[in-house]
Amino acid sequence: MNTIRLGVVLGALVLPGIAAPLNAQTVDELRARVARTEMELEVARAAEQRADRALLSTIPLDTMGIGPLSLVVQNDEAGVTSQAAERAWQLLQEHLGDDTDLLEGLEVRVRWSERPAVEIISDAWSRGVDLGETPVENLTNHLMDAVFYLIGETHAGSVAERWFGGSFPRPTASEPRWLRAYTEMATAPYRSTRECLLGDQDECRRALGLIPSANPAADWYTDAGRRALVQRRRRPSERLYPRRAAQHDQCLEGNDAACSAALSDWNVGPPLGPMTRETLVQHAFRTGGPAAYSRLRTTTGTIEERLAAAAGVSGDVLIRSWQDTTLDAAGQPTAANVPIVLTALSWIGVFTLLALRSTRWR
Amino acid sequence: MFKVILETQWKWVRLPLLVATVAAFAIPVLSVQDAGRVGTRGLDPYLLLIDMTGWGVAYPLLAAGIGLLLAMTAWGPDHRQGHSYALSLPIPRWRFAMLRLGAGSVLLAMPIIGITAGSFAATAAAAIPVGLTAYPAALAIRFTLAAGLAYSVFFAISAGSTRTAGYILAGMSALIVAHTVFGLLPGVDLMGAILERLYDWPGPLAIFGGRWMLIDV
Amino acid sequence: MSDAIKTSGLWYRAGPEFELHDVSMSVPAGSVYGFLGPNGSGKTTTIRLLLGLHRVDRGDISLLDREVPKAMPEILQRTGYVPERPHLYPSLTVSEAVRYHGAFYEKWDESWTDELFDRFSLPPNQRVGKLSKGETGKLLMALALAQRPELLVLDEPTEGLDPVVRRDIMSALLDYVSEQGATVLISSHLVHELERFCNWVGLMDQGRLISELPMEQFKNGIKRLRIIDPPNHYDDSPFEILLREPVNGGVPGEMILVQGWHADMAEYFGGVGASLREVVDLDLEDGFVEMLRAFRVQATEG
Repeated sequence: MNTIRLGVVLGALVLPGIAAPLNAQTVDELRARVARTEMELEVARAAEQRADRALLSTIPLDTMGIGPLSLVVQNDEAGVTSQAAERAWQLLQEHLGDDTDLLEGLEVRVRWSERPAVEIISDAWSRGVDLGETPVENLTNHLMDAVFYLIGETHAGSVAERWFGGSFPRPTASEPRWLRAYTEMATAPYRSTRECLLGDQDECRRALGLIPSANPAADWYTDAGRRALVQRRRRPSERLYPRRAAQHDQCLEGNDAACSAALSDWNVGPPLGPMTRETLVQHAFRTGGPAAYSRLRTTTGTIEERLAAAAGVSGDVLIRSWQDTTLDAAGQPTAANVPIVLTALSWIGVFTLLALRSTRWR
Repeated sequence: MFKVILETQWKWVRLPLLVATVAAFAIPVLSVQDAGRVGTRGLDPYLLLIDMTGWGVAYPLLAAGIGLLLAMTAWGPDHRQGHSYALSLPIPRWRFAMLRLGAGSVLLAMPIIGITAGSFAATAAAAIPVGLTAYPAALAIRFTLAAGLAYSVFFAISAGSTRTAGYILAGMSALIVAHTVFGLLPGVDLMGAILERLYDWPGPLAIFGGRWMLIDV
Repeated sequence: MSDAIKTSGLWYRAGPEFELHDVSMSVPAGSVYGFLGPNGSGKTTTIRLLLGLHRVDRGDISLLDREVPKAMPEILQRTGYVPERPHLYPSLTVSEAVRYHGAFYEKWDESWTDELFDRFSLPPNQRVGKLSKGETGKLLMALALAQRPELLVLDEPTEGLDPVVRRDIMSALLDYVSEQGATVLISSHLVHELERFCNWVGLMDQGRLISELPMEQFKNGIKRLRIIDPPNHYDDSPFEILLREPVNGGVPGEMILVQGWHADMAEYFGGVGASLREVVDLDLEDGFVEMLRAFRVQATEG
C-alpha cells in the first residue's frame, strides 16, 4: 500500500514537469525549435563528411582509369576492382556510344571494408554494397550505377529529372517491378490509372504525366482524383495549421475549388508514382537496346518523345507494349474459374477410380 | 453402415482435424491483421498484396496436409492388420472403399467450413483499399478442391496394395536418378519439365498452383 | 449330405518359400471339421483363400454352395470368422467394436449379442487394444457367433488361451452348433482339443492336404502293425500302407503304419506269407504325428 501511495505522489510531481516545456510553448516557438533542430542535424552531417574525407586522405590510394573516368582504389583489392572496371568500361561504351567524353573529370572511389563488402563513393553518391558470391559482377553493376548517377547529375533540376523521380534514369537499374506497377494501376484512386489498365492510351499518358501541363492537378486529375489526392496527402500535423486543415475538410466534403486551392500549394506529380514511371523508362531502354541511353539523353522534346526515341519506336507503340507487359505481370488472379474447377473435379474422379481399381478393393 | 465408418474415422482423426480446422479459420483471419499497414496512413495496397502472397503459401500447404491426414487415418488401422478385417466384412470391397472415402470427405467439410468462415470473417472486418477485391468464396472453393484432390491422391495411394506403393516408390526413385543423370546435360531440366506438367493447367496439381490470395487485384 | 466347403485343385504361391499344392478338401455340411497341421503347414493360408482374403492362382472354391470370390459378400454374410491374430481396431471400445461389426450383418441379433456378451463377461467400455488375450478371444468368438452364421471358420481360436477361457469359448461354440446345426471349420495344432468334438479331420503339411477322413476312422483306423516275415510288396491289401520301417533294437520283422484298418483284416497277412505279431493303437495325437512322419518320409524319398 505504501509503495502505491509513493508512486502516486511521485507521478503527481514528475508528470506535469515532463509535459510543461511543450505546454509552455506557442506554435511559432515550436516551429522555430524544429528549424533549429534541422540546422543542427545538417551541421552534424557536414562534420561527419569532413571526418570521413580526412580519414580517407590518410589511406594510400591507387588510381586507375575507366576510359576518361578515374577510379580511386583504396587498398590492395585492385585485382577485383580492375576486372570490374574493365567490364564496366565495355558496358559504358555500349550505352554511351560516342559520348564517353561525358566521363571526363568524374571520379569514383572504391573503399573496401570488411570483405566482400565495399563502399562506392563520389561527391554525390555513396553506397555500401555487399559483393556476395560474384564480386566482380556485382562491383561492375554498382560501378555502372554510380557512374550513370554522376552523369545524370548534369541534368539536375530539369523537368525530365523531376518526371523521372529525382534523378536521371540509369540503364543499369535492376529488374522492372512490373507487379508493383500493375498493382498501382489497379489500386490508385484515379480514373486515368484504371482507364489506362483497361487499354486507353490517352488515359495512360495522363496517368503517367506524359501530357505536358502547367497545371497538373487540373489536367491529369478529375475532381474525384483531386479529392483523393488531398486525402492521401493529409497529415496529422496539419492540425497545427487551422486554415489549411479547414480547406482540406471542405475539399473532402466535395468542394472542388477547395481541392484545387489546396493542391496549388503542393508540387503535384502524375497519378502514377515514380516507381511505375520507372518501369516505362526501363521498358524503353530494353526495347531500344544499348544506345537507348544516349538517345534518351540527347533527344530533345517532351518526355514521351525522348522515351520513344530511346526505344526506337513511336510513342503509341511504346505505351501499348508497356501496357501489355504490365498486364502480363499481373498473373492469374485469385479465382476459381470454371476450367480450373472442372479440371480439379475430373482429377478427383480419376484418383477415386484409381483407389477403387486397386487390386485389393476390386 | 456409413454412420459407423464415419464414427470410427472421426475417432481416429478428431484431434489433428480439430487443430487443422482451427488453423483453417485462423490463417485468413491472421493474414489480414496488420497486413499492408504503413504507420498511421492505413493500408498500402502493394504491401497488402505482398503480405497476402506470403500468407498464400499456407493455404495449399494446409489443404495438402489435411488431405494427407484424412487419407492416412482412413486406412491406418486397416493397414496395421493387413486389411484382413475390412476384407472379411460382408460387403463388396469397392463399396467399403467408397464408404471410407465418403466418410473422409464428410470430415473434410470441417476445415473447409473453417476456412470459409475465416475468410468471410477476415474480409468483412478488414478495410480493403480501393481497387483491391476480397475473394473469400473463390479461396474457399479452391481450398475445397485442393484438399479434395490431395485427399483423393493420398487415398488412392493409401488404399493400394504394397505392390502399388512399391511401383510409386520405384517411379519416384527412377525420376530422381534420371534427374541426376540428365541434369548433367546442359539445358536439360527433367524435374522442372515434369513439375511443369503437374502444376500447369490441365495437370493434376494445377489447383495448387497460381495465386492463393484472400485479397487481390 | 452336401459340402459346406469344397475346394478342388487349389494352388497358391505365398512367396518364394511356400506354396499350396493341389489342395482339394470337402467339409460336409453340419460337420465340425478339425483342420490339423503343424505351424507353417498352410492352414491359415488355406483359410484365407477360402474367405477370399487371398486370390487363388489355380483351382476352385465354393462355400455354402456359392462360388468364391464371386459371391463373397453373400458368403461372408452367412459365415463367422475368427482369425488367427485379432483383426479388430484396437482404439475402439468393446461396445463400439460390436456396433461397428454388427452394422455390416443383416441377421445381426441385438438380444442374442447381449446374451453372448453377458455370458463372456466382456467389459463394454474397455478398449479392444487393452483387452487381455482371453478377453480378445472371447470377443472374437462372440462377434462370430452373434451374426448367427451357417458356417464358422475358426483359425486357431484358442491359441495361447488359458484352459478356463478355452473351455468357455469352446462350450459357447458347441452350444451354438448343437442348436443351429452350423458347420465348423476349426484349425489347430492342439490335437487333443479337437479330438473331443470334431467329427471330421483334415491334415495339412508342407502346403498339402495329406489326409481327410471322418474322426472315427482317424481314431480307429490308423494303427502301427508289427509284421514278421514281411513280403516285398503288400499286394491287394484292404488297408492303405502309409509307412514301412524296420523294428528298432534288432527285433525281427518290420513296423507298418496303416490307414483304414479293421480287426477282420488280420487274415490278409497269412495270404502273403507274413504274420501279424502286434497291433499298436494310436490316439489322435500319435496318429497325427505318425501320419506326418509317414508323409515326410514319402516326400523325402520322392
